[in-house]
Amino acid sequence: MKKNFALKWLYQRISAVILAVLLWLHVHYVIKTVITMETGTFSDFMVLITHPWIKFIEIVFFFFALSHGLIGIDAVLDNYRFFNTSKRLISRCLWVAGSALFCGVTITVLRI
Amino acid sequence: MRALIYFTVQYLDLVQFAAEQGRMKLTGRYHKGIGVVYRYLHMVSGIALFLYLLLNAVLLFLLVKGEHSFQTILSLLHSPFALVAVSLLLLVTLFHVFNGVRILFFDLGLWIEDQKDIALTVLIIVVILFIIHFLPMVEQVVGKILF
Repeated sequence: MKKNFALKWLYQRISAVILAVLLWLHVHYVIKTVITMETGTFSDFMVLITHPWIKFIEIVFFFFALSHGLIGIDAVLDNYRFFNTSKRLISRCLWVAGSALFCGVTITVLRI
Repeated sequence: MRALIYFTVQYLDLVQFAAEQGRMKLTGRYHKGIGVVYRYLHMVSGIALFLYLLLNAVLLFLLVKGEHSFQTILSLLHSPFALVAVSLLLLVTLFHVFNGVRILFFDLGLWIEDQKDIALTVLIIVVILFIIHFLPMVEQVVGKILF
């Protein structure tokens, strides 16, 4: 159990550093571009989103962000006795939902 | 491998420390320092960012669905409300990232004695970066409302 905690702790720190870089790329190349886009530029958006590097950044970003977030929520559940009886169930449901979401995002990005 | 063992041992020490803190909380000898406030804020900002991630996935699904849904989402994103939401998101993200760096320093045993100063530095960096990014957004919102 303790080994698992230690690995989660280490993964949180490594994924946080990777996420900091990916978040900057995601905000700079995707969010900022979409927000500053004028109406009627769907083709411009498609050019942006179909670029192989953008696809790669989006998929890796979602992978690290979801895993980092889900491990963080596990830690929150561990910290509060309120969730003691249901934390395993909540955690498993969140991991299943997160995995499904990641698969959905990956399929969507790859199919564009 | 050595680093992994070092981090593991340090983490287990931290777990013991947290357990000790928990005991202190139960016995009423627990003092709420700035580190505890930041810890709660880190947790809240993390949950907010996780919710944003889900929203981001939904937006991605809708954006690639077709031109009609793309235009709807775009007009929504160009509203003043969306710009306020984006600036709040920016504030939350900046805090979570820089507080994460503070926690990393703490975990590595760096500047433990100067936690208050480090916490204050985090706040100053977050506020400065937020203002730098927030002012152009305010200008854009005001410009859209007035003109």
